[in-house]
Parts: sequence; C-alpha cells; structure tokens
Amino acid sequence: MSYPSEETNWETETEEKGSSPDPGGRPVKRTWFTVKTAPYVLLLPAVLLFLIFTAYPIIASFWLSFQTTEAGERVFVGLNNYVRLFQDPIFYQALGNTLLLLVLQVPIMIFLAVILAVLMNSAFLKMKGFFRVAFFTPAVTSLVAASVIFLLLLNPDYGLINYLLTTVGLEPVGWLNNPFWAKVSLVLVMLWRWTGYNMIILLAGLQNISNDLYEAARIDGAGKVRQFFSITIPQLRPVILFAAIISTIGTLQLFDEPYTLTGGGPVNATTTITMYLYENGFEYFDFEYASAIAYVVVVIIAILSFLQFRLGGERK
Amino acid sequence: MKRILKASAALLLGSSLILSACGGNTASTDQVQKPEDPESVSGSITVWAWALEADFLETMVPVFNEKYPNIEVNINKQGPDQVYQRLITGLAAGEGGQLPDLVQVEDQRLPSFQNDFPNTFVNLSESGFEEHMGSFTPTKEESIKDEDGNVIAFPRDVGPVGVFYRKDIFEEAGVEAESIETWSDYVEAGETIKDETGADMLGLTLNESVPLNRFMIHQQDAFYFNSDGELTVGSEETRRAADLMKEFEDKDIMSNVTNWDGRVAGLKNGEVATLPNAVWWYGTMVDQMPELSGSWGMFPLPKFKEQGVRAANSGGSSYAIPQVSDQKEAAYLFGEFVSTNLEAQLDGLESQGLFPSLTEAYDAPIFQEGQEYFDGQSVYADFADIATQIPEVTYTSDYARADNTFNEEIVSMYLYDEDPENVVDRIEQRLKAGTGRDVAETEKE
Repeated sequence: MSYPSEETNWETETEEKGSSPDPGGRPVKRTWFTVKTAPYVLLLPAVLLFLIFTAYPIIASFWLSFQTTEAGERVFVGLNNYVRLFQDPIFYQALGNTLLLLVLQVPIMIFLAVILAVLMNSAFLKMKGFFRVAFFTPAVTSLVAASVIFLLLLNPDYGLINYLLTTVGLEPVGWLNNPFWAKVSLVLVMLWRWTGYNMIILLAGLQNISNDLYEAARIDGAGKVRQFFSITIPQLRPVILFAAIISTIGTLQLFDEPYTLTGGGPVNATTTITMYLYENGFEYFDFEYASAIAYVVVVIIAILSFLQFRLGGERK
Repeated sequence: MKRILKASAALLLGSSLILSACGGNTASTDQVQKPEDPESVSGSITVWAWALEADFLETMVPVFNEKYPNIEVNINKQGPDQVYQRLITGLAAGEGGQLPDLVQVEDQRLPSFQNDFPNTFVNLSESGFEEHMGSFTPTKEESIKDEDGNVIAFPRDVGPVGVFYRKDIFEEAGVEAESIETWSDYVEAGETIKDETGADMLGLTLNESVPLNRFMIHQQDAFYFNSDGELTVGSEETRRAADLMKEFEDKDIMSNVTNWDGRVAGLKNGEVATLPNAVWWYGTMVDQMPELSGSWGMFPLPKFKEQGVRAANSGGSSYAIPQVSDQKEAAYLFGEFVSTNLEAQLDGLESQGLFPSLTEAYDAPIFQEGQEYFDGQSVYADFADIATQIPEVTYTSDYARADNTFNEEIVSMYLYDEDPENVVDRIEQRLKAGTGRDVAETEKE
C-alpha cells in the first residue's frame, strides 16, 4: 500500500528541483548529468525496479487473467475466467469466510487492544515493560512454531483445551474438525497473534493524550469511566481508525494462519480468498484463474479502503 | 499477514515470468549416449528430492561413485512444496542455472508439468531407457509416460495399499481377518468389533482428506478420468464408493480423527482397529508404535462384490531430467542407477521403507521373510502381490483439483449429513466448471 504515496513524494521533489534556476547563467558543457537531469537520473534505479518488479507483473497478471492454457499454449479467452469465477461456489464460500472473519475478528481485536492499552498506560500497573513485551511477542513469533503448539492444544481428541473442558463437565469441542468451531479456532489464533500488535499502536496514541485533559476532567468531577468515554476514546479515534484499516487489509489478505492451522478445512470452512488464489495458482497450476481472483481481491480492497478513508475523513 | 503480499507478489512475478518465457521453451531433445568407459564421464549434478527419498539417494551416491568416480552428485534435500515451487518458477524462467539436473516428482504430478510446460523433461525413450521397460510394475510404467507414450521419468517407488489391522482387537472380538473378502464382510466385521470391544473399524481425518474413497474407486478399475482425459465422476463405481463411505457412518463403525497425529493416536490407543492405507505407513507405525510389535496384521483391500481387484495405489515418485540441464548425460546415468539397480531398490526398502517398482526386487529374500512387527507375516511379499495387480490410472493435469474436490465433498457428506447421490452430482458439476473437461459419453445417460 505504500507505493502510491512514495511515488507522490518523488514527483513533488522532482518538480521543486527541476524548476530551480540554472545557477551559472553562462553556457555549460552539455552532459547528461546536469542540475536539471540529476533528479531523474538519481531516481532512475528506483523507478526501474518499480517498473520491473511491480508495474510489469501487475500488468502481466492482468493480461493473464484473460487467458487460459490449452495444450501448453496460452490462448485469449476474454472474460471466461471472470465468468467462471462468479459461478464458482467455492469462491463465494472463501469470500464469505474472509468477510465473516473481518466482521467478527477485527472489532473484537480492536476492543481488546484498547482495553489492554489503557491498562498498560495506567499508573497503578507494575512491571509495565514485562507486560508490553509479553503481549507483543506473539506478533514476532514464528507462526509455524506457534501453530504446532495450537494444533496440540486444540486437538479435539487429545488436546489440552478439550481435556480441561471435560474435567469441568463440558462436552469436548471439535476445534479443528467442525466447520463452525474451526472458524472460532482461527479467530482465537488471530486474536492471540495480532491483539498485542494493535495494543502497541494504541498505546503510542494514548501517550500522546495530554494529562491536562484528565486533570481538568477530574477537577470538574468526572469519574474514571466518564474520563474514558469522554476523553480517551475521542482523542484516540484517529489511532483506532488507523489500526482498523491496517487490520482490515491484513484480514482480507489472510493466509498464514488458516494455512498453518486448518489448511482451509474442514470442507473449506476456513478457506480465505488468498488461500483459494494460492490453491489455484500453485496446486492446480491454473495461474490464469488465480490472476482473475487476484484482480477481484484488489477491487474489493480498493472499495473497502475507500469507504474507510471516507468514514475517517469525515471526523477531521 | 504481510507475508500474503509476498505470496501474491511471487504469484504475479511467477506468472509474468511464464509470459516472458513463452516460446523460449524450445524442445531440443538431445539424446544421451551411454559411455563405453564409465570413468570417461565427468561432471557435477544437483538432485532435488525430499524426505526419506532424499536420504535414500544420499546413501546411494558412494555406491554410484564406485562405478562412475568422476561424477559428483549433490543431493539437495528440501520439502516437497519447496521442490515443486522452485521447479515451477525455474521451468517458467527456462534458465538452467535455477534448476536441478534431476528432480523427484510424484507420479500424479507429472501430467501437470507436461501440460503447463510441454517437452520440459528429457525424453528418456530416445536416450535408451526403453531397454528397461517391462522391468517395473505395469501401473508404474504407464504413469511415467507422456501422452505420446514416451518415458519422461525414471520410475522409483510405489505405494501399494492394503489394510493394516490390530490383531489383538480382532482376536478379542473373535473376527477372522482371512474371512474378510468383500466390503460387506468388512462392515460386518466392523459391527462385531464395535459391539465386542468398542473400537471403531476405521478412523477418517475429516479435517484433512479421505484417500480411502479414491482407493475404492481405483480398485474397481475406474478413476476420476478415463484414458481420454474425460470426466468419469458420475460413474457407477464412484457412486458405489460414496455409498459405502456413507455406510461406514450409518453403521457407526468409523470415527472422526484429527490430523495425521490423531490417526496414529487412534490406532495406538486401540480406539481404531484398521488402517486401509499404503505400505509406507509401516515406517510410521514402527516409529510411533514400537510397543505394538507383533500385534499387527495386513490383508488386501476388500473388494466390491460386483467387480474390481483387491489392490490400489497411493503415492510413489519418479525422477525427471529438466530439458535445460547441461549435465544430461551424468543425470541420466545417476537416474538410471537409482531406478534400475537391484541393490539400490532393496537398500531403499530396508533402510527407508520405500517400496520399489522394479519387479525383479520382489524375488529377493527380504520379501519372503516374515516380519516380526507383523507377527511373522511376510507383508512385503503380500504388498508385492498387490503392487503387480494395481489397475492403471490416467491422472491428467487436473488430478489435484479433482482429488481436492472429492475430498471436500465426501467430507461434507459426513459433516452436513448429505445424500451420496447429491454429493457425487455436485462433484461432477464442480469439476466440469473447474476443469473445462467433457463428461465421458457412457456417463451421460
């Protein structure tokens, strides 16, 4: 997502330097490296890399999405891949799973992250450093290693969690082999992994809120709860929005967690749209169809990001 | 989550490379001449392989070097996913430097590579491998040929399927394994065992895959596709298999186990009495359940009353030489060695449990020996018997999609309690749309 903004920066820079007057005023020796051309020359490597490794693949895969392989040759088939995609039940299922995770997991996670951040920021908590590290560690832990542990904990037949459930008299839960509970397991792992990450972002936001506001509120007789809802939340709103956008994009591109934890199963109950893309490209060698999926995902992300920016913009 | 960006970037990059490589795949099939003097061949080759097969190759290098001292062999052991992904990217780029000189490929994957990258592997028939044809199991020989009947890979191991069972549980329930000949015998025995011991007859990993369904189609000499590559999903054979899968649940003789580990644990704890699967499970069993030595037996797959054999296959790899290799001669010699050398096959079986496809090996003493783990049963001989009976299959380039679709829908039959008829119809619809293949004529009525 960072490319457009970087590009804009380059352009403004180019304009400034390009319009600066020639310092000498007298005829200079014509070389390719002059004050006027210098910015372009210096930018060239970055632009070339961008063209080769970003722009070209984007265009090539767009073109690819209108083709198919027949007897080893690529042939143009118009919108066939897209028509097929919109008639593909698994595509809708993957899309539905992804959106469900988005609607369920992101709000829960942001809510928890706000609570945790406020606790971390409060005066009475001891050993703050320890807790911050403890909550942030999952975000930098190897997910594959973590998944192995989760698989052991969540195993429906021999896992620790089901053992604990049965000791208190509850029914064991099909954490990984029931379509509903597999989704719950996935949400749990995502919460474990990303709540601390969002907490750190929010904590940074909290520390920017001036103490004066709280002091004034206290003098006016506002209690802790009132302070939280009337000062903390409004002041934190832009940071919360930022965390929500990052998490939304991340969830729409979700791959690692379901891939390592459930493999998309059972019966595609946890297959996300990116997993389905990967499956078509690298398991079925159907790169053309995978490219079509990629472009639909791009459109969806663009629409959602636009909506969120609009919502965020209104507040300012 | 950001790694997704990388995954999609890799995809985009990969696909663009394919575009740029179009037309670069010139099919110059240079023949490999067998040298007069083994010492005259020199070179250095890189081989990509995974798991036990890579370990097997590693032990073969010194033996190979006794005959060809001037060929340096580097075994590059990686995970199977890594081998495939690097291979796809490398083939798309068409650059020799990115690719090995010899690569392990599972038999069911060969047609996909042929379809997406035509003439990408060296034609071994032209290099003289035809002289060895007839030495391997018939199914294996069929699976390593391209559409024109040319051999494109060195055959290595196969995965004959049988039914492993817990002898102690069978005895406790008073069930004779020898009396199980058809699937209805199997279901009946399962009911007795459940009543007498409480153990389930089989454990299916519903969160992963249910290969048993594929074995049951395969053993009826049918498959997802016919030899013309047309879909045969709606066939009698497929429906018979799906009905039986459903019957296991209706008669309450199967349990839903989770992952590979769950499957092992079920057998180990005596909660599951049989495991219909390939010979290579033996290795896992010895490794994970050493204490159960002597309480195992094996009988061939029960058959359907109507037709079919008591044999199916699961797994098995071969070795191919990418066309871009500049060490084809050395690669050919090593590939031929690991594929056709008798001692190599026996060593692979003894040290790694890899079941050879070279039929000559089946006459070796180890096949007749009674295995202690199986209470003196000579299981290797039994598996060899199965291996030679396995019906031929046409995998096609859409095997992976077809197999996944079958797995998903059969599992949904259990999880959403659906009618097998509807499930099979849905598989057919999905595969028609997903593969663009025609439905075979006989299926249409």
